[in-house]
Amino acid sequence: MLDFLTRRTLGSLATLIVVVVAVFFATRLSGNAMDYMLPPGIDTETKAAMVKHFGLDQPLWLQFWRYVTGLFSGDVGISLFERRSVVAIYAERLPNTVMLFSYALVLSVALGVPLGIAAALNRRNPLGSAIMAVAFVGYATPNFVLAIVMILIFSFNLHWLPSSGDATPLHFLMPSVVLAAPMLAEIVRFTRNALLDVLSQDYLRTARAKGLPEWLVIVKHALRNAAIPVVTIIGLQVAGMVARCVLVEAVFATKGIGDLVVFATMQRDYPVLQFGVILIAALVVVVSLVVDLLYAAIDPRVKVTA
Amino acid sequence: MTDLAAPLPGLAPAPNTSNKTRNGRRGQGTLAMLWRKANWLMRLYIGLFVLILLVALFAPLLAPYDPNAQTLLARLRPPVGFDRAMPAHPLGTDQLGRDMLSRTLYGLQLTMLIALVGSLISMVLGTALGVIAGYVRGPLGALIMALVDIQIAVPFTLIALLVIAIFGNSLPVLITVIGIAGWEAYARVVRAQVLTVSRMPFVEATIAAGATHSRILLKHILPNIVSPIIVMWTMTFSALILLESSMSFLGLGVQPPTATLGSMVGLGRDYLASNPWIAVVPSLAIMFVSLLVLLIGDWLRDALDVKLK
Repeated sequence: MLDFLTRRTLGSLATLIVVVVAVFFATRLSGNAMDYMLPPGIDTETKAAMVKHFGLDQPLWLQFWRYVTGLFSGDVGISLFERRSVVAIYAERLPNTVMLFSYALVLSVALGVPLGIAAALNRRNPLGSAIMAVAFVGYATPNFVLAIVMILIFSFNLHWLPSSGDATPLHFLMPSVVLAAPMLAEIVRFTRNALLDVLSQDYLRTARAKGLPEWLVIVKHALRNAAIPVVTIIGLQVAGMVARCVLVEAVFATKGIGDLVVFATMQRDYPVLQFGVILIAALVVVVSLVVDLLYAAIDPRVKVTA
Repeated sequence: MTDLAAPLPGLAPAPNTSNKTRNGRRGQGTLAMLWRKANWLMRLYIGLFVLILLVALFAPLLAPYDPNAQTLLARLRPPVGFDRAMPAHPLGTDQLGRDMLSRTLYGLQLTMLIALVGSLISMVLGTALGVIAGYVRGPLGALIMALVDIQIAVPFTLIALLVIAIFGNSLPVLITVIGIAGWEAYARVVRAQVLTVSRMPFVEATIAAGATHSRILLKHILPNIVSPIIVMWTMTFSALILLESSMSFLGLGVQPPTATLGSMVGLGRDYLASNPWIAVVPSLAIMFVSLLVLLIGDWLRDALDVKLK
């Protein structure tokens, strides 16, 4: 057990180190960021001053040292575009992303598990098939297509919801639904299949034979055992959901870190982009590590295969 | 990209009991066997997919107009069946009076081409690295598997954004990005398969008979791992269509005026309130293609009896 913990933690640490190093050198690959930033035809003196201002004239190893120590002291430079501290920009944007993310997570679990149960219990009639068909379409529909369709219906035809922005909680409704859709579909599928696996077990027959009402059989005996694979898929999907935030925020103009990262890519705002990549990668790595460790704690069989 | 290998259990057809494809003769025989196994619905899906491939291939012949030709007098016309529609433009025109049908056909062609080339790159790259990791093993194999772990851990969207920020957004960059998107899934599956197959008695027998490494790999191991590779390919293909569309939608993929389905949706977004068809037509096309590929891939996994674990 301890061995598994150490190995898994060291692996995550190594991944983060590789990300930090790779991001630094990748952003230097394309030459001087100032070439893109400044208007063409600017005099060389001004340009040299700008390069010096952003510390781009120093040797690469010194830049790398400043970058690494900066990561630990919370000084990751200033945005080339906004001329403000990168950390301040992210601090401003983070609450929106966290909100969007939490809504989507709650939504997909709160809807996905009951729908999955309903699909399993109705597997032989149209209700079950209908739920699974909707789940499949939800899984296969690209995020931005779903977003476009929802904006068309709820913003422009029914005028119920705002199409973009983040001013009120209502603005978060559509982005959360779009972000939740693929995960919701996965949870429905996994809940259904896990429950179907459990439903054919002997101990359920025993539970019924001793006269338990059906709902108690499902809740107390079946669901508890079906929970393990469902927890796993939630853990796996959380990482993907962080990545999907990027697209969803860009579509709905939610001012979060995903939208910021896309904008930084277009503007070649390297300090913002490199910190964004490191921040999101770190979030994903930590979340998957925590899920893995929790999972190993719940189910002792995991460490054998991991 | 962890989704790629995820099974779609809810819709799985009845499990297939025959295991002939594993060791049976390939080529014509396998294709005919698969066709016999397909029910009418799956045959319909396959037929539709072949139709889409043909349409994409012959887009220049089928498209009534040049996709980038602007007719400013016929701007923002809706598809046939709505007010102000023009029969000459069955799917309507966009804000510059470009024919939506022609753009959708060309966009479909480019989207399919990018996904196809990208998925072939990731297949070749991933399979080669997976074979090295599984057959040669040693420190090189360990390094490859470490890279696989890292790519799984870091959301691919971020890698794509970083590459595009560095190399700019052009078609070759986009294809490269898409090519490196799926390799880690292949490498993982292929390595596991190679490890299993190379421990089988018939491989040991060939080694004992003095076969060279290339003969063992090409003649004995590769034919036995073709099924999972094909199934992985269908799964990456639909994921790559979505990746290309998302990138182009964000304006980080193919540059205007060139049409891909994703970039058309992205441009149509600005006209959503007044002229929704500009975004809806290509959206439907993307959804249709990706659903079809997913359904076929799902069925293929069961029909070829492949376990992607």
